[in-house]
Amino acid sequence: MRRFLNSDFFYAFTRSPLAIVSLLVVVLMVLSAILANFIAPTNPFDAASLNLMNGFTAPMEPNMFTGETFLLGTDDQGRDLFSAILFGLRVSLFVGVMAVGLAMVLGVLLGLIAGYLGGWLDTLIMRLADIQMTFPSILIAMLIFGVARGLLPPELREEMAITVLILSIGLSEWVTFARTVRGSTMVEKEKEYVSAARLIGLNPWQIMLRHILPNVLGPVLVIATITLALAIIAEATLSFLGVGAPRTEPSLGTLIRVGQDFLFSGEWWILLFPALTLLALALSVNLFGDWLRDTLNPRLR
Amino acid sequence: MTDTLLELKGLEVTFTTRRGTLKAVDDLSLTVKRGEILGIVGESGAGKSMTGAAIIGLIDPPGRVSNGEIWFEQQRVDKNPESMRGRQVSMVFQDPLTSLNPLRTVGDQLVETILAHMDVTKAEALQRARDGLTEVGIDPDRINAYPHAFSGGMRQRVVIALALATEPQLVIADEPTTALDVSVQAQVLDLLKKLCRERGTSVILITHDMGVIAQTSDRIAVMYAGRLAEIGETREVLTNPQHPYTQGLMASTPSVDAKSFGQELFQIPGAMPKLDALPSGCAFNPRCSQAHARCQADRPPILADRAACWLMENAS
Amino acid sequence: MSFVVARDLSRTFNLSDPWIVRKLTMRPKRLLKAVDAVNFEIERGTTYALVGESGSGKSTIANMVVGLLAPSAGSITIDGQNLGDASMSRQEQQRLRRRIQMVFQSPYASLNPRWRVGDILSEPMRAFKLIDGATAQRKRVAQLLEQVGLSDSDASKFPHEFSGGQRQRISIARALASQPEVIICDEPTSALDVSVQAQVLNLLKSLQKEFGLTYLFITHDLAVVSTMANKIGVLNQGVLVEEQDTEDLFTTPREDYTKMLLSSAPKIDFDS
Repeated sequence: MRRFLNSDFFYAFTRSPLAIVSLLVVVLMVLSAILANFIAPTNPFDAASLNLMNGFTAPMEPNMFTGETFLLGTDDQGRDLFSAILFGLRVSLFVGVMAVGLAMVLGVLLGLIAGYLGGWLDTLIMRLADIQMTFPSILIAMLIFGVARGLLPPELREEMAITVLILSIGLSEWVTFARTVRGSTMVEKEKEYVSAARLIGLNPWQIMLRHILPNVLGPVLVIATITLALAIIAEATLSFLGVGAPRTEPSLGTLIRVGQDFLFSGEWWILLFPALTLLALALSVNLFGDWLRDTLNPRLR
Repeated sequence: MTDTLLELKGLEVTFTTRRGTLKAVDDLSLTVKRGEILGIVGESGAGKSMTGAAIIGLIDPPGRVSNGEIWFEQQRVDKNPESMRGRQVSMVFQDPLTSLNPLRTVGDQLVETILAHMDVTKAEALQRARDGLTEVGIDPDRINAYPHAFSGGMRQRVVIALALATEPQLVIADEPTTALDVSVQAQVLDLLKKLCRERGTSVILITHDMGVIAQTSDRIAVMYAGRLAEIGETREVLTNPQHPYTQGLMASTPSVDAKSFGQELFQIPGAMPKLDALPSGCAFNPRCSQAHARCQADRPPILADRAACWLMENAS
Repeated sequence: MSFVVARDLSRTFNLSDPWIVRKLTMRPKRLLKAVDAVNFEIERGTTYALVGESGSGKSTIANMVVGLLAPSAGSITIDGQNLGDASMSRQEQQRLRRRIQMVFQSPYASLNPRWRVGDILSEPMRAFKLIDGATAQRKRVAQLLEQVGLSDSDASKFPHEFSGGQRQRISIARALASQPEVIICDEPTSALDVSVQAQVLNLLKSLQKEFGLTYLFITHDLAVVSTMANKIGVLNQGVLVEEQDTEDLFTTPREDYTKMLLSSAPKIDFDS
């Protein structure tokens, strides 16, 4: 730990207001999402606790029927928006992180294999990547989503929605990881410590995982951070289009979708607050990722 | 017009890092006469490349010339050394692969340099470029070839032609032959020597290779940990080294025609200190077999015009 | 029979464009004969130096001797056994591998920057099943570090904390870890300063005396060879043009190429 605090990286971090602020915002949001159960004043998904009469209450104004006040107002069914956003944040983050995790594991493995083993495997993986890159990732995600939905029986569809969402976003984002790791692997492969490992009879998997992997992970962290921002937006887009998180377990995107219906009839808060939250989250993650990439750039070391 | 072309007085190059200020070059004073070849020799980290870079103004932040004076042709230039760059002082770098722009022809690069520093027409510049190539032993019809068509040795010749194209008074060559094969190395060094003698151009030859220095330079300056250890006529310094470091270097260099087949090489114990952990007094004292109390206490200046060593006091 | 024998060793590299490009541009295949029917023998306990410029094939030969690259023709045998022998079982292969090790040229690329020195040194022990158990391995690591002039406390450090010369010592220690009989030194001091080079060369010599090691020493530097080798082979573009005992080569070189190499080596000699 001390080694980290003394490192150039931490020093650069303390010197950059941008990095500190964006990381703070992200941490704040993550904590809110994790502690949503404790922070949220109400449970917006408990149908029993909802009072339809509370619907369409403006922020910080007492409801004309029940007299209750809500920090950020309520939606059409009387749900407290603040609580809904907290839980929505949780879903957005959960899907985002899991999707990136999947993309990372898949992409790094495929990149290692393509870079180290080369040959037809490399060609196959790279052509797959090329083909995938020609389609916008949202379309691919929708494709996978649609296929999965078609395969699943109707009862499971809503339950599995989140899992399918994670799968579809994860599978659409592996290419960047794979390409970068493949490039780094091809460079490391030529270095003499790899030859030394071959000299003691290690097999390719041992060499890939024990020797090469630790040395190619550097850029992966940066890519993961930026991909997280992409995944969050992707999830929001899918949910907004109605093919993502359902209303019973809404993400920020779903909330935005709901809010859109009411924007022009005057209940602006139902759209605005979820949208602002999404904006803040994606922006902070993106800014932090950018800072990370610039700081970890080996040429500047 | 005096004999002295370049004079460094107390040159100091420092780097400010968060671990403190490091002196890459510390109180270096030397002169280069017109038409002479001065070799600056030292191991990695000794500060020789930094010295060359300081003279031509190529030190980038966080490094800077923090003290001392650089005099060129009796004019003080340390405040703006770039003004002489290209015209009066030019440079030959180590790596022939990256010294030339791979996307432009050799001729283009030569002509561009000539036009940038000399008041001639394009046609004249082209002719000078062709002449330059002939001088370094390359067929002038290859003027429209790209760098990748040349071998390493030929590329260094082109770089030398580039350096000499503006008829500078001083050429700084930083490890010009380190990346080349031994046979090519000899040719390139001979070429450099010949051309500079013919034109009366001075050369500062920076290298870690004692053999290269021995064959090419008139005078030699030995650097250690950013400081000047010994300076003098090449033949004199190499056959009769006064500074214990120079003595150690000479003794640990294996030689081809030695009478030392199979014998153990002399080795200087320890390693050159890092710039942030310099010993007090003389930087070499922990490794020196002839060190005494004064060596740890006071840093010796150049004594007897020859070596920075307290042992010289008795000699002079 | 000599300990290390190279017979008609050859290696050709296929540098042609991919098949489809060749068919479309109608260019022929491009083959590079990097090593052409090289023959040499090394007696046990001696040092044989292969000298040549870049492109002479010396590194290719080194990689073939140690088993990293398969020869296109010819063979390499160590104590009668051939690494390229397809009939060998995995166990036999490992046993043979243990006897040959290599010290590489670059002090920066030859040690995994993410591994601690102790792990780097103990890896061969585990791979060859020489020493079992973490404690015993640690003891052996300490012993190895001392043998190369470093200390036990260096085992927990990372390679970047060491200088070039120290890193080469660690590489040498790693080579020793498998208790080999033959060590191929591929330009081990080319990237080092003169004073550090002397330390490393002296270390190699003393280790040879202590453990009876056989060295194949690859270099382009004739001066280095004069202090290290018993016998020298001169390579020119893949062909072994001359081979003599060290002193004879320097005093009575036979081939023009050898004479050219000797004369162009920069010398500190003011008597001539």
